[in-house]
Amino acid sequence: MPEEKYEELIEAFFNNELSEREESLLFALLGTDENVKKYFKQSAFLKAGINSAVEEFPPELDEKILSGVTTKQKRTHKVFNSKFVNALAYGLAVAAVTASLFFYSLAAEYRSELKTVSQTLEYQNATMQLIMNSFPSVKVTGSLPNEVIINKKL
Amino acid sequence: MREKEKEILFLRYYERHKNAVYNYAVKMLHDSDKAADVTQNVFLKLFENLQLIRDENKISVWIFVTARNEIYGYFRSAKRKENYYDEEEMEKLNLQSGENTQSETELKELRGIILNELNKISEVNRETFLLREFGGLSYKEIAEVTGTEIHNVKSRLFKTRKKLIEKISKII
Repeated sequence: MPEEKYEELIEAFFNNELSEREESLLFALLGTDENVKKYFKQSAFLKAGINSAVEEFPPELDEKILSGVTTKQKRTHKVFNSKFVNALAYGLAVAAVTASLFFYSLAAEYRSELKTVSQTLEYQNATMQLIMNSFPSVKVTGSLPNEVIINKKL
Repeated sequence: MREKEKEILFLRYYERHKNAVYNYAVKMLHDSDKAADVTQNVFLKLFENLQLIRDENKISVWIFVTARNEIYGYFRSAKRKENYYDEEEMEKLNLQSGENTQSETELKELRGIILNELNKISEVNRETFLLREFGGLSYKEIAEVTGTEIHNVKSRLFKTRKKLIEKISKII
């Protein structure tokens, strides 16, 4: 097997990215090929070195983070449970209801006013039409002895 | 989300990721105090934003993107980028024994070589390697955190590992 291919397999193995089929292929190669075995050993040695460089999580940091989270949680809890927030929310709700009632009555009033105005307009329009229809017919002629240019009965 | 549920969920994610975030931050910043601050900020932000993260599978990505932003924010504000691990810091690193057969001295030497070599490689390769080895992220997750393609992640990891193996092969 070419060098690069088995190196890739070993690389994937140590990165936990090897499929089952590839894993069995790698183990078969490890049993037969000395070069594969050597590279695998070197990779395992490297892994051991890396693992030895892992630092332990400081216990005081654990404490710091968890107490920080608890403080944050308490603060949020306190804000949402305080009497002031409750009173504010209640006040806002009452104000919103009052405002919506006020605007509703205002809108109803405008609607009835609009209805009255449109009825008046309709009535006036009908009256004007009646007046116009009652006029005698009009004949418009030019100053020159030409034929009648407008002859319209209103 | 109720308070109790939120708390339980947070503790689950916290326990799962705290070591990874802290180690990633330490290796990126070379400063355990600053790394502790970064870790604290990341988890406090996680707690604040827990309701907003709808996809549970994206939690690791969210955590590491936040950690990365915190780290780069620190780099920007401090205008510094350390390029070495000092000896004292390396001495402070705790050795975890048990699962390996190598002796303590060998591991110490090996660790020194790895950490020194990591400082010599390019920043993108180093970051990708740290996210994989200390963050425990998959190729896909690293690609999402760093905003790149999966094949780039693979290639960066391969190059870095190969380089490190070349270095350590001298002491095997």
